[in-house]
Amino acid sequence: MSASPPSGIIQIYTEIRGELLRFLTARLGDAAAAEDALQDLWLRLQASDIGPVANGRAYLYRAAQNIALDAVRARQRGTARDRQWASAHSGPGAEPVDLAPNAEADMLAREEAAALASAIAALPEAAGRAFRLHKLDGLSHAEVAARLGISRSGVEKHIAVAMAHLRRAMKD
Amino acid sequence: MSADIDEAAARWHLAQARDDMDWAGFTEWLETDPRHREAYDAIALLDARIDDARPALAQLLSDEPQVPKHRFLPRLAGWTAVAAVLIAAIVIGITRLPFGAKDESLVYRAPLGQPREIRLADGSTATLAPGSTLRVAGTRDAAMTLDGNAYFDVRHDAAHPLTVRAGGFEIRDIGTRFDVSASGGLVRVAVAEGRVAVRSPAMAGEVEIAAGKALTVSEKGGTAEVRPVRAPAIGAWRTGPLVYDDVPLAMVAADIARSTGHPVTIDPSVARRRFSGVIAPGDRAAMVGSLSALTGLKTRTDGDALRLGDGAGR
Repeated sequence: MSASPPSGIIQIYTEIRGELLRFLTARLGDAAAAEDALQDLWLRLQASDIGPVANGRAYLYRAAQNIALDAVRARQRGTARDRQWASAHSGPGAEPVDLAPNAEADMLAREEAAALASAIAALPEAAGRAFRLHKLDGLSHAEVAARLGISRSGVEKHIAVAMAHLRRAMKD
Repeated sequence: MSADIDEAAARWHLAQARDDMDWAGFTEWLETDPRHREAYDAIALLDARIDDARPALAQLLSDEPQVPKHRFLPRLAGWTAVAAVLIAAIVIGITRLPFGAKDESLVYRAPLGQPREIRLADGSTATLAPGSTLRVAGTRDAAMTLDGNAYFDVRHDAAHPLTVRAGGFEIRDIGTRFDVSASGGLVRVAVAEGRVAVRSPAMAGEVEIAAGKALTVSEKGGTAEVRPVRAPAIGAWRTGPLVYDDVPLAMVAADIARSTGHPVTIDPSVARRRFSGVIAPGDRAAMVGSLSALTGLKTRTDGDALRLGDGAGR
């Protein structure tokens, strides 16, 4: 395995490493977990030998976000409900695939979709409209703003209100 | 008020799609109060669950009054043979396969924006790219069927080759690491380690691809190209960003569409142009924006789709 020459993204990483560590610590609430996540990011950058990247700083932050979200998901995986899902995880210690048909997982997925659908149907009108156009119909924030005749910031506000409602509705 | 915190968390989450996202500000907000982080975790995970459920949601929330009560069945008008087969599969799933059924296979799907690793009983692993599906049968001898993109790390067993079907082609491997993608009407097999054999019903024999090489061929057949590929780029998408080394733009566009769940198309005149670069994960607008910036191509809307072209006509 040959050493890869320092590339643009590695240079950017080196410059903002301190910032990224602070971000991950805030994101995970745990300095040790943040160090692990940062190390994970570093190893992946080393292994990648990637080509030109647009907006390197944003790229690194988003990569760090993904790693952090994986860690949060892994933390929450201990719940009984999660064990009922099909057993595919990333990383070591994953269980082998159960090759019997898993009708139970299908049923849980259907229940989740039904619960989400009721909660979405119950959203306040303006928030719900913006939410659906973006999340279900796939319009970008700018496109939703054009469609509804409001500002992009207004769209983000509506969708945020919708997400807050959905969080409360799905907690039960 | 916790609703305010949830809303603030959601605003930060939505702002990340922007190029001018204030990451430092987000960090400070997270540091201010542990409830901010908890709310953000919940919102981010909820968002991922909504993406996973999107196809079912679109159907459940359909506004048309004549959709029948059993919403997992499409309307009778406009059924095709494919739809009928899918319905049969769903019904079988609910009522359980009869004893001794031959087709005991399981379909895995990676959610939008998140790769998914599957560990097979023999120790081999398959990592699915976001939005891809892999049908896995009960034994290593039965072929797997891939729709989308996956990276395979296959445990060596010369007596039992592992077979992957994708885009009408069959890839056979006795123990190696390789990436298969069937996207945008093209099939690409890139080998990181070892060698694989590729064949199709249309081909006279097999083509062997060794490590450090990638085969690209149209699903419709025609000339297959074998080119060198940098090994670290193969399967590098597993860590999140889409990494391309000399890949036709048609596949890049299709990957963005599959990964975000929304259509992205490309003008035929530039579809075969090769691309090397990295697209950070994000929503469709962000990813298409990155691709546009890196290639100099122009973006326009085309119905539901975002379409890329060189602006010189079709």
